[in-house]
Amino acid sequence: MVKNILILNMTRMGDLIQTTPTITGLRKKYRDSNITLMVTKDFEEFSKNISHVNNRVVIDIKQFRDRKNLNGFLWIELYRYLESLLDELKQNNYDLLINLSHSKLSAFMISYLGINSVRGFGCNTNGDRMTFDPWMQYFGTEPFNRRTNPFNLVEIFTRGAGVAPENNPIHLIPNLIDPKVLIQKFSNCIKEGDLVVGMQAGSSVEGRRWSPKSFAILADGLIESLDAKLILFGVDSEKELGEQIVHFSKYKDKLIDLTGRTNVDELTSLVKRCSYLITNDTGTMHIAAAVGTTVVGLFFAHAHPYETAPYSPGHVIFQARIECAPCSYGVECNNIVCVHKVQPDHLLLMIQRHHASGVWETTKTMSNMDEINIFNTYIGEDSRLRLRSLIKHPITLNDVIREVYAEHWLKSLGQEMDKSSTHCDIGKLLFREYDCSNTDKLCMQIDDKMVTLKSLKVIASTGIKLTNQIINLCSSGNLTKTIDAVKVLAEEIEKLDKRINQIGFVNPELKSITDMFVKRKENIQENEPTQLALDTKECYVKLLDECASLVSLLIPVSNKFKSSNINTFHAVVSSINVEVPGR
Amino acid sequence: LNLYKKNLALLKVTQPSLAKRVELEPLQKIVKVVKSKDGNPIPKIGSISLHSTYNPFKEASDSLLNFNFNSIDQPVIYGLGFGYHVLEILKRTRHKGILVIEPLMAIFQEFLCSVDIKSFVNNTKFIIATPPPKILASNPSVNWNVYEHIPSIRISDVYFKRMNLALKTSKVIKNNRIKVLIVNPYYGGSLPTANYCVHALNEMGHHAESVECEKFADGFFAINNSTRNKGNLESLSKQFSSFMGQLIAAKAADFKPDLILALAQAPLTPEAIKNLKLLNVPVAFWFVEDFRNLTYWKDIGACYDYFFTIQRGEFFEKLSSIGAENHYYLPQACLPSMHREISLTIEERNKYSTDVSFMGAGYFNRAQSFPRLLDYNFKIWGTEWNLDSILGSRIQNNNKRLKSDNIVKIYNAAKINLNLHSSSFHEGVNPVGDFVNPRTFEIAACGGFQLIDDRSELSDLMDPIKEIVTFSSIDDLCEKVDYYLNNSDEAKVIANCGKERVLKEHTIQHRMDEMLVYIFMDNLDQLMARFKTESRCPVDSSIDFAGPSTDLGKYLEQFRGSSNFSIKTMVDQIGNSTGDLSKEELLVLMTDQLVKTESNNG
Repeated sequence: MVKNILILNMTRMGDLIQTTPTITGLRKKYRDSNITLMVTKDFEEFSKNISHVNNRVVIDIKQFRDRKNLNGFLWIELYRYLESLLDELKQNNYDLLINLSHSKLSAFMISYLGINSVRGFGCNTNGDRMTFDPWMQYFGTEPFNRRTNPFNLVEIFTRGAGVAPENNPIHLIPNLIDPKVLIQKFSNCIKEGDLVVGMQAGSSVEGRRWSPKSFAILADGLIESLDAKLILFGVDSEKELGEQIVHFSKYKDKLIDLTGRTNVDELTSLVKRCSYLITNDTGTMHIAAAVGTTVVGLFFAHAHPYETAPYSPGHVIFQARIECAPCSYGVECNNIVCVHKVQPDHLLLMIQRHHASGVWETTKTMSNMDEINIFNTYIGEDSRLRLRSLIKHPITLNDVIREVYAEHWLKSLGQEMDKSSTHCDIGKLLFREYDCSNTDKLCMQIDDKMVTLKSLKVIASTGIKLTNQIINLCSSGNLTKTIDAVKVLAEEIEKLDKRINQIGFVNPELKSITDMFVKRKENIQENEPTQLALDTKECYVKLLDECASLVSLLIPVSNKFKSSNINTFHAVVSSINVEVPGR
Repeated sequence: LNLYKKNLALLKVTQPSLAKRVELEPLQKIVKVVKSKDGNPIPKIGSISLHSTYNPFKEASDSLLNFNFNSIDQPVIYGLGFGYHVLEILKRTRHKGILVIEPLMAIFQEFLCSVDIKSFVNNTKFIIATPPPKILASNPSVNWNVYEHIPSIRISDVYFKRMNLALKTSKVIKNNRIKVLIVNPYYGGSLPTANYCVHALNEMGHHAESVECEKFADGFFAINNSTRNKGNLESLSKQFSSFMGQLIAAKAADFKPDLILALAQAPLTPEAIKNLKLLNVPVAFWFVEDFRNLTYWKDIGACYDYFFTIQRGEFFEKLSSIGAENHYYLPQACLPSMHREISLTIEERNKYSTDVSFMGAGYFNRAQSFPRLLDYNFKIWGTEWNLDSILGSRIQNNNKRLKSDNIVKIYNAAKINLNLHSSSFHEGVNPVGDFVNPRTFEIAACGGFQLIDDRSELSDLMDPIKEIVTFSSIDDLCEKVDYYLNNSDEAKVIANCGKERVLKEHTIQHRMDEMLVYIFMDNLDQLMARFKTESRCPVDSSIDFAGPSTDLGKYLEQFRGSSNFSIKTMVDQIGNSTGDLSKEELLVLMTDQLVKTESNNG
């Protein structure tokens, strides 16, 4: 029985909030366990709002920032600090460690602490990277396959920790600050019953920010049409953004600029008072989701709603639907065009409609919609938090694959099932959310991917045969003859692996599968030939299963598209636009 | 005169090199010998009598009343005189091999003429007219128990003061890590020597780094093909040299050395040397070349603070004439960690074994004389040989340069290693060759047997009978090749003696020790002041900061001598190693991550 759990979460505020379902789930699963949360000094105060935590360990690097007098020896001070912190932690004899950071630092910490049961990114005793738990392996491949990822990080974290995300919503301990008193502290123009809208114009990465001018235009629209009271949130370093919004607004005196003026508890309390929070992808957005405030999210540059959308139903998210969005992992865009695709009018019309009807839907008066996605968060038939596309864009292969992957990975990686969990009909869902009127090309693309999956299956089968041969050779007992033969087979396996990797790069839609294969192989630590062959075989078996699973999920979807195309096919061939040979 | 000859014969057995020097040195009649009242010979220089003219033995005995004899410390006697005090000390000490330091050869010569040395030789090592740094380099000086013979001190006051200063300097150097920046040449024979200097200094616990000018050799040579215009070529070469000077200065500014040592052919112009001197540390040059072949020393000799040579006599005069007064004789040597006896595999033995072997470039005199050896099983290694010549079939490795570790295999594998010093003018042996090449010491250190052409400086370095065998002509060489191929046991005994001598006195470590003492005797206060004010080696400082006895301190020990030590040095080392990570390694890796995060946060 797990009694002592350590959770490493040395990331930012948003990530901490996204961890709350994991912690709740762990508490439900291990009722009497002692849960310790490791956070950085910056978020020590905020972490007190997270429930079910018995102890907090704070890693405080800030204390060394003003130690310039240490000259070249600062590292020794850091070394000693880490040594004493970790040695103290070691004494607690944790029996389960959940690493929700994917930093090298956390991996080395895990190795140092020598905890037997680990879930998440880590390393072995040699310092080689390892990932413990299939969902955490998936987490390691996700940044390189963002476009086909259907899972919110909250879901990945919770499933990675071995608990179910369903019925474990993100959550913060309610603070005792009365918003009325707070509002009076900052401004006396907000009355009870007023529509209060919050705006968070900052974000940790500058490229993710919608322009202050856009925020100002939207604020003006909300004031004019809904008589809304606007509060501007932000940290001290974002003051300039607040000032700019005020500067561009026609109603300067109606904007309450609190950038840099609130602490975390005050912020939480004020966000709770807001009916809407209009925000870039920020920690404040996750606070809003946790306290039940409706989020109007703006996702630009690297921000990707499928990963970090507010994890509760009823929010709306805007994102550019252009080829390069979201930015790939690790790139630094020098021409962030995506922020210009979403216009203040888009948000204004949607909020007005929602305010009137309580439903998120587009209006006929909205224009320039081809290059934007508007998603609404909702709980799907499968009990998962999902994104519903509110604009019926023509469906693409990527949209299909992402939905298929959701079903596939839940099966393949394993899941803690909540009783209410069930599967959803992918075909039906796609037809409901996308324009599926012209899917000829899509069907060909799906067929093409199925052919590729079949060739991957052949490679996986060959891998199984080769590893079987190695196992047989090793058990034959004639070592001298065996070594050369095993070497030849190992070279063959190496070639297969290169081919698998290459297929992933040629077919980005399938890269998630091939990357997982690579990730699993990375985890093989065995040096003894027979066991090594057995472990390798396991990877090929898994790859074979995954290809088969994906094909079996794609076939009905493809068939559904094909059957719906029969009528339109005749229409198309009779069209004047058909290219006829000899014309 | 008979006594002199008898003594010299005895000295040839016990200290052959010294005996040879005595023979070569003309008798200087500055010492007058008188009889004491009790009939013993007493030397006098000017009005100073070196012993009591009444009873020198009693005087010697009385002078030792306050001398603290102990069984641990090495007795060292400053001043020989006619050795009455030496005999008295020999009587009272249990130590074997006491050192007697006498700066005046004239006194030693008169001593040999007047006193039977039989009672001395078994337990005494005479160190005559030897520069103090050289004494300290070849005689361990940790526990000297010095007896000062007062009349000798009065006569050679300056020398013994220098001796004491050298002793003090040596202690300071041994107890500290000296930072030495070695300026390498672009190419050539002095390049390995430069590298050996770095190795040796680091092995001695100092901190040496190189300016690797050889990495710019291609650029340097490419200039020659870039233009046919002589004026432009000169201008380009000059600018390239100026650039190299800047590069060396930049490295020196980073490294903050206590000493800059340039090796022969280092690309330093007078301007560049002047620039380096702004760092306020000694700038020295080791000219490990024949001054008659390469004459650029005339342009740069006076620019350096110290000028070390492998030749003396005439060269010293020439250096003085150009204003390079601070010259010092420092012969070549071997690096024992490289030049050593090794076991060869069967393949290596097949490749390198031979009766007669030569390793070196195809200079004129070698190309002319080696055909005489074609009847032997003879292998030639090295570069610049004419493959189409009659020697062609004996040239190994297709005339290509060999790495030092392969050269060591050649020396180990041959029954006889030839060592004929190069000459572009002679058909065979240069009859007036003076300096000794590094190959002499390297072959010996490998335990190889060698036949070497006669060199005037050789006898001071090796005993040309017991420790090495010389030849004076190619005829002589052929005879000796025959003889030693048939008397391999004798050859082995000589090779072993040669190896022992070389390891005792002729390693690069010895030379560096001697060089450092010589240089810092004049700059000791400046050096000590720098120790106090300047930051020392980052590894040392880190160990001090971490605490030498802590786990971290112990872990850091392995990085002593690392150049440009930083966390990256440790992380790289961890990355290149295999096996489980230790606790310290894990902590270093974590610290590295934190430092990186912090620097990213500004």
